[in-house]
Amino acid sequence: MPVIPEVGRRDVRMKIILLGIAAVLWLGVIIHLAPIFWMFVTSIKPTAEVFRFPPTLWPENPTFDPYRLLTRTLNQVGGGGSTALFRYPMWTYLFNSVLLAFGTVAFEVPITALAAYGVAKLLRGRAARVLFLFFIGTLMIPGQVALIPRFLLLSHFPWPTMSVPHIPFSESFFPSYSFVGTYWGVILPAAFNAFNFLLFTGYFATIPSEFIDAARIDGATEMQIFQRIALPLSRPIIAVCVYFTFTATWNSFLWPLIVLMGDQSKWPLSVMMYKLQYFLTNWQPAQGTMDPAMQQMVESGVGFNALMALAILESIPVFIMFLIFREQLMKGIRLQGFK
Amino acid sequence: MAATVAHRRLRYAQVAGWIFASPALLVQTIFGWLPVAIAFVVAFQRYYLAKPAEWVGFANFAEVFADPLTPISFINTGIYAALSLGLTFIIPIIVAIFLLEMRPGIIRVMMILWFIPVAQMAGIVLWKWLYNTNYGALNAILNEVGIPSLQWLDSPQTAMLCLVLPGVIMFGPGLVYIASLQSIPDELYEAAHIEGAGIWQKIWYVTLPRIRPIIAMMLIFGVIGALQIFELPFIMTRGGPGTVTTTVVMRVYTLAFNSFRMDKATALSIVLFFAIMILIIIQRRYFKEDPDQ
Repeated sequence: MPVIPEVGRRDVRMKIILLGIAAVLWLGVIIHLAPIFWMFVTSIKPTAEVFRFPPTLWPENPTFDPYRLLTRTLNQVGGGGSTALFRYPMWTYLFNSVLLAFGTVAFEVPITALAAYGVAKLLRGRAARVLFLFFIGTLMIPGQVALIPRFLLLSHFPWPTMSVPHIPFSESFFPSYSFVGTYWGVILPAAFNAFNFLLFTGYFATIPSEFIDAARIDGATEMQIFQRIALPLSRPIIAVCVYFTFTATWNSFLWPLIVLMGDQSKWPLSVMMYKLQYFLTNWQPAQGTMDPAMQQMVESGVGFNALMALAILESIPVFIMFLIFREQLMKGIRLQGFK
Repeated sequence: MAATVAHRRLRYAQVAGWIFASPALLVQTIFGWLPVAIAFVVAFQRYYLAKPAEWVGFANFAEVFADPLTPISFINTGIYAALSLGLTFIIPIIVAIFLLEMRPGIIRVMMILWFIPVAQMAGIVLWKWLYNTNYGALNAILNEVGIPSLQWLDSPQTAMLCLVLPGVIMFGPGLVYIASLQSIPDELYEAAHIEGAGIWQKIWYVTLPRIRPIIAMMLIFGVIGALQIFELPFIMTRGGPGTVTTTVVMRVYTLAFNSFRMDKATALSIVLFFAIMILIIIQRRYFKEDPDQ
């Protein structure tokens, strides 16, 4: 709530302070938006104009060509021939990102919510306490410790070792399945989230037990109680968890890079953009001259403008999610009882 | 009769509770705890392509500590964490406190403008483009005001600062802070007002103590996150120039996936794990607080 009381706002000194605060905030907003503006301007410049210094503040010939990259593949030219740099049209990568993000949400949120409801409302006594700690304990462990073991585990599931063991007294190996190079390799490890679990349990605990007991007397099954009483009451917290999970998966880079490295057709946008920027910066010619391979690429219309077009496309879903969940988000965070 | 029904119902709820929790239990066991346990096995073994693994005791750790890049990467990570938390941690708190002084309509507009989110990878490539030494907008601005171009990410002196700068520029009010600020009861401010407190005194004696638990929590998450920094230096500088931006998790990645030394990489990640644990314990000890006391 505001520090300055409503009645005090007419005071001249207060007015000056308020104006000062407003100025600082608007300045912050402008500084925040400037790089985003630049991202957009670069994305509608023709490639030749992007490689010009000093850059133009607004493109002389605005074009949406860079966005056409979405439907095209990219060839790496040079080294005595042309090899496919990105073998699939860009919408493939966008689609992969969408699939991974929604796939993770679809598994993670219900699984986490069910477990949280079980721990908060159904189980009692020691079982509930132990399970609770079991579920949130991993929060205190930095994620990178599990990085390599998780990769080993997924690369020949269910054997967490470096290689699949032999079946004793024989030459053959135990059966194993590799999740590396599959969407499941990204979705399954994220199918439970300790932080969201904490949010859910905190929220479910505030639902009065009388509601649940009354429903039980009416003969509802526990699943029906969960669906008809707990879920409708916890819409804000579901929104928070969906939003957190979606943005986290959408932004994730290291894990998809490790798991999906070998199969380009499954890369999400973040991995693809990493590869493209790596390629672009390593081919960067000295100022004034242009290396022939770069020249060809520029002629085919690819440069930082295409990268910025992808950056805009990558940011749009996150923004849409924010707009959809904004109200619920604020409510959810407040109600959670952070104090 | 009624008692047995109620009793049966309670036992039924217990069974349902276990059923509800079982999918999460499975996932948390396999992908949450098992990898942590395996880490402590992998770190004490040596792996070979053709031979089965051997137990080697602390040999991997000895190698980690003998590696000249280990202290360098820890120092770099420490510098990054100190710089980024020092420069950026406090900004969202101040902005959130200021924001709530505005009229609701303005808050709404500012919130949307401020939260126009940039996806993580989009932000990183955008800044790499801004830093571009030949065509970048930042050098253009510098030249415009008569300052010669800087090398930004390519210079050992500025590379680390360049990694932190996006966090300073693209800041915004923390959602969590706004939410917690809104839940501070008005009466507290009224009482402070009646006692003659000014704005700054109210912020210092009423607002800050109230949101202190959140600040402490965000600080823990901030420290844990900053010490595990990977994406930013990996994409922006690849650890360079030289080794000035090589962080610990980047070393872990390089050891595991470029040098194929998963054992040594895991040992290094366990060292970082203990370093973070020690920090958390210290933080818990010195920042115990209860706002209602």
